[in-house]
Amino acid sequence: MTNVMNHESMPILLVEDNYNDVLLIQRAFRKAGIKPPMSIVSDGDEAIAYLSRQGQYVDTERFPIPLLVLLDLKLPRRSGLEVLAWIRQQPELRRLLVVVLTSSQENSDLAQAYDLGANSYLVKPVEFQDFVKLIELIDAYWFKTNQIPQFFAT
Amino acid sequence: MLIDDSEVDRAVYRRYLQTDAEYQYTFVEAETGEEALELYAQCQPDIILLDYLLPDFDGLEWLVQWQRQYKNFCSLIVLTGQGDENIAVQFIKNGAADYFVKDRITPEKLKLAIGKEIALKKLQLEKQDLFAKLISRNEKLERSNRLYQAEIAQRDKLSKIIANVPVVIYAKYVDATSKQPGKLWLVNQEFQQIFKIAEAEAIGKTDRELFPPHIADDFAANDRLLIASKQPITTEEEVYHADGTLHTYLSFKFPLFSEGEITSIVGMATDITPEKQAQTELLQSETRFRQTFEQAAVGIAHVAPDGKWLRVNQKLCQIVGYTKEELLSITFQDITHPEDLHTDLEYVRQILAGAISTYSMEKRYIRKDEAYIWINLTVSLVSDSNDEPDYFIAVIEDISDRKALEASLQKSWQRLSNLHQIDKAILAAVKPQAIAETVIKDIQNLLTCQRASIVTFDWERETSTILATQGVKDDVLNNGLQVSLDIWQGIIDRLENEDKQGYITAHLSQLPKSSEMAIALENTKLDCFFAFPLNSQDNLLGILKLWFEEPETITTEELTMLEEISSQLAIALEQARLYKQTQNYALELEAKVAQRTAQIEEINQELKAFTYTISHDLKAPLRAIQGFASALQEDYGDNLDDLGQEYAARLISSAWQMTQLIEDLLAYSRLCRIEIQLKSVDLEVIVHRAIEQLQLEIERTQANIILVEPLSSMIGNKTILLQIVSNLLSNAIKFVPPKVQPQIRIGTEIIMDSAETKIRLWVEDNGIGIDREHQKRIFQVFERLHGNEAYPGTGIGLAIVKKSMERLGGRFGVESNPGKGSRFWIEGRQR
Repeated sequence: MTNVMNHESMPILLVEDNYNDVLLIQRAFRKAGIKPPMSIVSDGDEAIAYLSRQGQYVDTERFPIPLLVLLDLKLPRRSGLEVLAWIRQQPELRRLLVVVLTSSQENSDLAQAYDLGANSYLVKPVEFQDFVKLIELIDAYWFKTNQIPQFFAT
Repeated sequence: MLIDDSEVDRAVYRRYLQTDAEYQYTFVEAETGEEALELYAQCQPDIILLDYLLPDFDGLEWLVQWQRQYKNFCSLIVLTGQGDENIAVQFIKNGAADYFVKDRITPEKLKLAIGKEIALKKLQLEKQDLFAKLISRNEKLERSNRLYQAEIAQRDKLSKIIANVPVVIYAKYVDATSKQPGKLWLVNQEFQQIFKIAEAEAIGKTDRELFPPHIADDFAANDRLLIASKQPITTEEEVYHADGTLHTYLSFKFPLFSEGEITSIVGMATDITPEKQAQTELLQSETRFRQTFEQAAVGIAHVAPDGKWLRVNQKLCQIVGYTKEELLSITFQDITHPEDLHTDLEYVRQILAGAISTYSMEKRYIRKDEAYIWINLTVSLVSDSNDEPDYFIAVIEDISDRKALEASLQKSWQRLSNLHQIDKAILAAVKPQAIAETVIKDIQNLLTCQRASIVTFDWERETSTILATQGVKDDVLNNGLQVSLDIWQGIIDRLENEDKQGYITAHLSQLPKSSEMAIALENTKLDCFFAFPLNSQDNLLGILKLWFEEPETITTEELTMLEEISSQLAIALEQARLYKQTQNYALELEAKVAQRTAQIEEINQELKAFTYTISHDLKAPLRAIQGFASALQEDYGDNLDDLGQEYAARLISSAWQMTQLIEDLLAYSRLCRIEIQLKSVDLEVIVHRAIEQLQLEIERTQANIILVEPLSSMIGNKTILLQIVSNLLSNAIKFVPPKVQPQIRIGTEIIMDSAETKIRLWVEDNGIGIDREHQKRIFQVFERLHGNEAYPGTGIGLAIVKKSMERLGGRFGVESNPGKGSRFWIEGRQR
């Protein structure tokens, strides 16, 4: 058991279609001083292709297997919730940590996300400072406090 | 009798006496005294010659013995041998007639003595005879006297009886020449008492002198009858008593005759007034009874145990239509309806057996005209003195009217019941054809019709539909067949012109020859039919047709019923039509509602998608503006001058404002969509929480907030009420003139509004106030009265309050004047 992990060994998959948000999230990570390997896909289908190692995503060097998925709900093609549902249907992925990161405060989204097996549901703050704080909290909680399950039994 | 023991002496005496010329003697001779006593008894001699000295007696002894033995002894002469004075004297003393001494006796002396004795004897006999005659006469006299005395006593008794008997007795003379009754010569005490006339006054008077003329005349008339017939008569006579009351007497009068002529009339009279009265009363009672019997309004009869009519009254004769004589020659069984006879006879049996004393029953008699008549019979039994059944008293009441009424009621009831059945069946059926089939079936249950058919008209399309047809013989046409309206035109015209009765009768020939029906029906023997219009509010919906083989057998009753059925049928058909129409409307409406609902659902979905888009998509660029502006400030701040810095700051603040706007809009939209659970909410808690939330603002503005406690509870939702109060309080803090300290009061009050008790929460401020003309606008989304620079805000707050109160079932309002502050209030149910 390792309490403190090297950020190099904690790849994150960011599923986010809004490039503004991608930039802001990356900046927030920078501001928080956290530099994990971060793969970015911009729609639901891409996310599924990435996770199921299809096409270019066969290359695990370039596209490491993520420890945590930051999942937006409002996505082109397959929605975030559909991706979540898909993940939980895959035996080898069902323990994958999925944190929903969305601008939706709708109760229905929240409830559905948890029903489908989201590990956490976070609302994107409008103010950037708050965003930075949120990223710090994610790091502190998910990478530094939380015990990561061994979901890849290979 | 010669008593001497000496034969010689006896011969002497015989000789002496045989010479007597005057008398002739018969001799009896005895030698001893004993013998003499015996002989005496046998021959009873007139005279005895006794010798003194006898072998067994001396003469004196014998005399005494003889006298002792026989009472009526005869004359005795003693003869002795020696004379002795003393003995002689003793003999005479003892009753001897004479005494002779034998020596001195001569025939003359002897004859004389005997002759004297015989003469004496004769005299004695004569005297005896006279004496007897005297006694006899005397006895006769005495007897006669006794009779006389008895007769007098008898008469006296009779007089007393006559005087005292409680019967009027009188006697009056009859004039020998005029043969008229005359003066009274006897009146008894009863007479005197009753008429208060003393005997002395009455005797010698005639009836006319004593009684009123008409009474006296009546007496005289009866008297003359008697005089003429010479026979006793018994008659009734009326007379006034002294007290003035008129009495009736039973009068017995008989004549007294003298030498064949009537000399007197004797009358005996008894007052029979009470009897007469009783008789009269009896007669009256009998008359009354007879009248009751005869004139009673009910039939009365006496019936023998075997059923024979004994006595019948007039009313009974009327009821059964027989004459009295006819009735008396038959029995009640003869005229009792066979169906009722058994019951009646059973009653008779029971009453004769003593099981019941009376019975009553309703039964039918068969009248002489063979019609039957309903009567109520009440019978009781009269027994004779031997307790044997004598006769029945039967009271017979004509109840045919009542029965007819009952029957008619029964009929009416039956009719109503039938109609009701039909009604029910009609109501149960929905489709016209089912209604028609039901009606036809019911009609055929009610009466005999060979064929029934129901046709409906469609005036718009000029067609008619045969809804149902049923015939006894065969079904000619199929139900539901459509035919042209024309073929009915004749019937329709006649029905429209018919206003006396609710139907018409028609014949086959009156249908158009070409019509299919006419052709089909020609095969049947039916000719006549009744057509009943099916009218509903002046619209002829169709007709009910009934075919009869014998139309004349249809009763008025049945026709009335059929009319009623027709109107019911019309109503039902109309109802069915309306029902179908309503059903169609309902279906249309339902379809419309479904359509609208789908539309609304779609709109709702769109709205949801819209708000989702807003919440997500609008926020994203805001975040970008905000984020990159911050990045500019932080990462490139050194490269920006003051103006560049301000632009960046404005970018950030605009983004913040936009965020607020979006949050409010989302809140507003959420209010419209979410389900709200209502419960009692303590407003005090809510107000305190709102104050806490706005603490920063309150401190910044130095707002003075006064709670008018206690605050009530209101029916609502905690979250929503908090938002409302928060909005109102924040407005109150915000909308004050510059540099004015906000003065805010918050309180609740109870409003009695019609049925419900309501709670009103108000928030008063010293703010800028609102013009009356603007007061309504402020409740609408995005309506703002002030520039953003002066009073920043989204313009949605009050709209949210209004919508919230609507969702909570309450109200929201404001009272305000510009410059004088505002009082915003919300109102909800207390419970």
